[in-house]
Amino acid sequence: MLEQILTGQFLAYIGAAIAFLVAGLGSSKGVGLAGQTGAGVLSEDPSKFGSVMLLQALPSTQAIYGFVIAFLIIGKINDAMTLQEGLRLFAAGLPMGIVGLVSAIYQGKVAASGIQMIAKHPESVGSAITLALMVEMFAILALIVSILMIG
Amino acid sequence: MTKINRDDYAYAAGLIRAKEIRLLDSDRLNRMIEAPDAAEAFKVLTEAEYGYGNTENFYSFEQVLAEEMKKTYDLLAEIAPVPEVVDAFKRKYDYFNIKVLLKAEFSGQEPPQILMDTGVFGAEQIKRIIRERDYNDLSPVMIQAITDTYDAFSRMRDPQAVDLIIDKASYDQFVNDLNEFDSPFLNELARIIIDITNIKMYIRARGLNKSWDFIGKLLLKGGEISEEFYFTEFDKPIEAFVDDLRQTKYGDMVKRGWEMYIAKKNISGLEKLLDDFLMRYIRRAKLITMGVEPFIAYLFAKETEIRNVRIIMTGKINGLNDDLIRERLRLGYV
Repeated sequence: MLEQILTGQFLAYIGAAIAFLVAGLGSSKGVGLAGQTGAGVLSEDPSKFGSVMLLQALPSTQAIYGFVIAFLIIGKINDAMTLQEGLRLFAAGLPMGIVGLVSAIYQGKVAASGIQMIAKHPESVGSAITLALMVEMFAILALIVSILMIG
Repeated sequence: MTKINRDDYAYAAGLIRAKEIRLLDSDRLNRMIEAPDAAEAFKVLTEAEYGYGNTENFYSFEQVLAEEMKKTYDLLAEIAPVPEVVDAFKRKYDYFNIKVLLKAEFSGQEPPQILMDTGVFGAEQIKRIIRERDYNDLSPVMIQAITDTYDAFSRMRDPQAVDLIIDKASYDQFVNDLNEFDSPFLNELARIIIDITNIKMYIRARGLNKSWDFIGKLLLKGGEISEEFYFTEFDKPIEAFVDDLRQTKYGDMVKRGWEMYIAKKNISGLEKLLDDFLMRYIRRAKLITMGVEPFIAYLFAKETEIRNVRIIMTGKINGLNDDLIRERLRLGYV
């Protein structure tokens, strides 16, 4: 019974699921947090919508990267996969999923803080975006590692 | 313990940061001080959209300030993820109202018009509660304070006892409430408020040659400076108390305040320094982006601002000179 379920294919699907699911959770949390702070600022000063939206959107990239990895993994899956091949794809999903989760949450926090900053100093929208983009780097590295692992 | 979840404050924090830029900064306060007369100073408040905007005359500025306070509390109550935090701060207005009502009752007068509408209970509601002695909705500390007051007044016939009992209860309640929250910021705030209140009371009471019996009853418990400290200091001259405070964080402040007290025979300098100390603690919230800190800091910022505006307006109406007004101003948040 267990052998029928634990096939290479199944493991690879789990890898794809983790890559998108976990990174997606992170992005939801990050974008949600930044969005709430943004709503707070906009309720007082609706003219800042442009920069607030830009900052709020930044943590959504992790979910997009997770989607790319899930897509690549699913593309590699075939009926004749061995268990080892499946495990490799499973492992390939982990960096994007986990790093995506953590980096999206923290990027959301930086973005929320950045939104608070532009509420006071609208001219520093550039700095606010740069600060949030620093966190993006780790998500990008995770994306590259996951792609290399898929091969 | 009421749990405080930082992320719940995301919306409130954003809104408050946007509101903070409208606080009266030192530039605008200076403009008020340097205005040629009270009417001109009042214009700054009108520009800052103080109150509900239906007051033209600067003589009713007290009403505008009360409205502004109410506006602030209404806003915070609306956006607070944990409403109990706001209630903890509102209760002092209930105590104020209770005090006013009991005093009026004892002197056989009608309740005066100065009741605040900012408390947990509205002015009319608290009037009814006291008149009908229907204490079901009040907190245990409040009920105890009211019973104690009736008791003390029937024995001593001293209206000052009302002030002492109710004010003490108000602080006790506030400190208890703050310690109910699972937030190091609020717990430390409670400790600082206890210490500052005790130090002010102690120095003032010693100046009036009060007994330990009197002082011991008014001391708030739970501060960084223990009750025993005050007790052992009671046998020494007050200079020794000021000196022994050196090892605490209040040392510098109290020493400078004490020197001012000696020079001017007036405790207001010391009071200002201690209030500024508290504001310096509150200012730490500027570095915290998410959580209860900016939320509470805004409340303090607004209360201090309103207090400063009151100092300026009263000064202007009474024709005080600019430097004298400036000297009395509290340190603001922005």
